[in-house]
Amino acid sequence: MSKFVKRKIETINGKQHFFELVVLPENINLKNNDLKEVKGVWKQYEEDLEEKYKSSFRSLTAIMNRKANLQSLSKDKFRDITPTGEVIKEYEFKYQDLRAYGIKLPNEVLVILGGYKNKQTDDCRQFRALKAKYLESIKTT
Amino acid sequence: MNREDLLRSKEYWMVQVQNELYGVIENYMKKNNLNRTGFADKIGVSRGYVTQVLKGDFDHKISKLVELSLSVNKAPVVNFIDLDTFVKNDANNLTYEIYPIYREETISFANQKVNSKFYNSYTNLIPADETKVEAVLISSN
Repeated sequence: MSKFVKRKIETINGKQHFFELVVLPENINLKNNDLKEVKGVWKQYEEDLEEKYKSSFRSLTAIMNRKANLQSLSKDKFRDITPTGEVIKEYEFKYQDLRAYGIKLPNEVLVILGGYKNKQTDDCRQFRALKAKYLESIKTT
Repeated sequence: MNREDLLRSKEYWMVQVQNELYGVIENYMKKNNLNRTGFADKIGVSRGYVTQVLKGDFDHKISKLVELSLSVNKAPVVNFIDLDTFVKNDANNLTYEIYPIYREETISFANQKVNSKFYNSYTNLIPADETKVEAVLISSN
């Protein structure tokens, strides 16, 4: 079973905390302080972005920061994408070609995946698979 | 990118202005039971223009920003805060709010115009030493 931890996204600061999911490799030795070396999904997403997306990434982060501060956001920038019948709320943040997918937990948002406009279907599938694995992992701990 | 980089970026501030504008217009439309077409007709612009504003993508002239603001009965109060101070305060979880305060009286003292609040506080502290008042000088003739 996959192991996860949550890490606070330091660029986002508000009334609501934003965390990123950190997927732990199977061979990780937690006693050796290896955890610091493992990047979260949001940090990895930022690092993998091409230079042309850096500006959009700053806008996307600013949008998430507004959500963290419970400030108004255009429906074109943020929407609830929770499927009918699903209990844990799902959020999508958008700015131009970039997307961020997260879930609502008590007084926090957990960012599970960063994605692209032209890969929405695949990203959504991957996001929901990761979400299910994460929720399963916290059920058993 | 760290928090400071975000706060010092153009993208952060564009998102703030665009989504604040979105918020006041959306509220106005709800309160007055107007759809996009109705609101566009009321303020004399095209529906497409309203759609752009409501997408949080407003990037027009300052005069348009002011017109939109006034059309929803909002005063576009603008404040410029020293960015270094803003970043420093943000790191200490201090945020900014705009609230009304009484206009301060300027009074004449020792042939100079001084702020009454400072005058009173200084004269209470150092009643006999008039020269100290120069430290709180607001303007002189």
